[in-house]
Amino acid sequence: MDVAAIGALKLDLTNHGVRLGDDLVAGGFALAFAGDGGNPGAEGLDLILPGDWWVNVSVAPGYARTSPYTLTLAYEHLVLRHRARGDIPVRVPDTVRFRQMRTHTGHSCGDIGAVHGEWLVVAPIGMRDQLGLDRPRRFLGLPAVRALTKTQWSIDEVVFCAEQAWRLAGVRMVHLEAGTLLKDDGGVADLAPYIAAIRRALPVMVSVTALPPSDPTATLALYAAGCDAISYHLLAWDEPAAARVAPIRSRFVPHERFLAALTAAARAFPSGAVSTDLLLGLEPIERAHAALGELCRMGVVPNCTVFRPLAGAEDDAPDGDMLPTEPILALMAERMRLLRAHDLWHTRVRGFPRTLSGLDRYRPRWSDRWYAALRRRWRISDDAEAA
Amino acid sequence: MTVNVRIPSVLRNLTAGQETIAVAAQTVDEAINALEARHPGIKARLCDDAGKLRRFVNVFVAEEDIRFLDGQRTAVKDGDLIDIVPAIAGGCGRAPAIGGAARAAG
Repeated sequence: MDVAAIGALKLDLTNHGVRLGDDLVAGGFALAFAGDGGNPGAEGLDLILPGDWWVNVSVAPGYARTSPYTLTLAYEHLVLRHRARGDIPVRVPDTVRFRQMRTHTGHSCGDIGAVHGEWLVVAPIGMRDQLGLDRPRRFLGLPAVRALTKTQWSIDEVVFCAEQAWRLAGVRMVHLEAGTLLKDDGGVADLAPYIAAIRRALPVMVSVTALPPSDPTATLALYAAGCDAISYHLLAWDEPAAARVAPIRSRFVPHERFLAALTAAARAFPSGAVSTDLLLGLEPIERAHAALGELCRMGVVPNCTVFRPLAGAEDDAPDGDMLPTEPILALMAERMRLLRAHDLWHTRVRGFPRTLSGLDRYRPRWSDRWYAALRRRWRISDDAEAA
Repeated sequence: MTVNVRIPSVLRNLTAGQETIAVAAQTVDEAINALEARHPGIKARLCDDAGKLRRFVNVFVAEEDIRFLDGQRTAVKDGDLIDIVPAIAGGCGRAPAIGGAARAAG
């Protein structure tokens, strides 16, 4: 399969999801997807496609019920079965050893973080101030009940988890998530000691997703603390569209705050290291096209996310219009062109591409870490002198 | 003898959130049956109708995969830890996580 075909397959899989064959269901394959999930970074199923391309797909029965792809076993090997395309050999990553490891407090690494390829995703800060939401909302990562009882992992636990992920699963990027509505800084300051400790302990890079701080200079402080890439997620280019799926967030954090924080981040961070997510289907796709241009001009990498429902909400009518794959392919081609035109493509140090980024494959290398350290030293001392 | 069974997070809704459960057992099979007696429904998630461990469910005794020992007949010692680990990592197939920002969105 050539790159274009794999890219199209990735988009199609992300868009449609994958049905699990009866043989896999009987084998307990779906066990990990049956409950409330392990941790916030563990959604969906990672598949490794031919050519070592990764994709994360929904296997929720409601979402994938019309999918043309079925994951099944053929001669003891996993394949994606498609009526027209035949059997496509795939693999699933083996993270059992990592998930088995336990911290000194007895928590398993699988509860603390999720490994996706070379990324470890951890939400170390407890999400206890989520305003008592009592029902899962589409597009959101966590049912509210779990968010309210989410453990706050200590720095030691997170560092241990990162060490195991680095040692056993080849992780090279640690992605930290925070989202605190009731703090002006969106919780980013709470992440600083985690970032510093991880960087001290391991030769990995660190990215962050958070709510945007009200003071945009806090973003610079995060960069100074050692964060290599940052994401503030707009969800939609037009504020009313974002408010449809995130009404409470929109009440607390205005759209302008996202744009100001993204602009500030784009000035501080290396080119291509600042990103935002757009949910396709919330607004007309023309608006997504417009957003791509504007965001790239700001120096922000736009990631385009395909809607996936929450467990238990699979049969609900979507808030937005579900898109067929073809317009998304065109959008992604335009995105690629804009990223290259605005020189946002060359760095491999980005936020976690959990969302649909059809042809993206980020592989941070040792030289990236070296360059990042050099650039940070140069930029921070420059800013200090300027101040 | 008493052994501790670690329950994966996806099954803790069946154990009232308990992460580790102490049961009296001499083999892995007995431990699973003891679990089932206390938390009905858990065995069906781990084993098929014939009582055989499902293919994509891993069970470790003292960090050894029982498939390389005696399978479900593997003997356990007092204080052993039986670790149940799904072979496949994942969540409940819901929305792609879109970061803390989105989680806080509501």
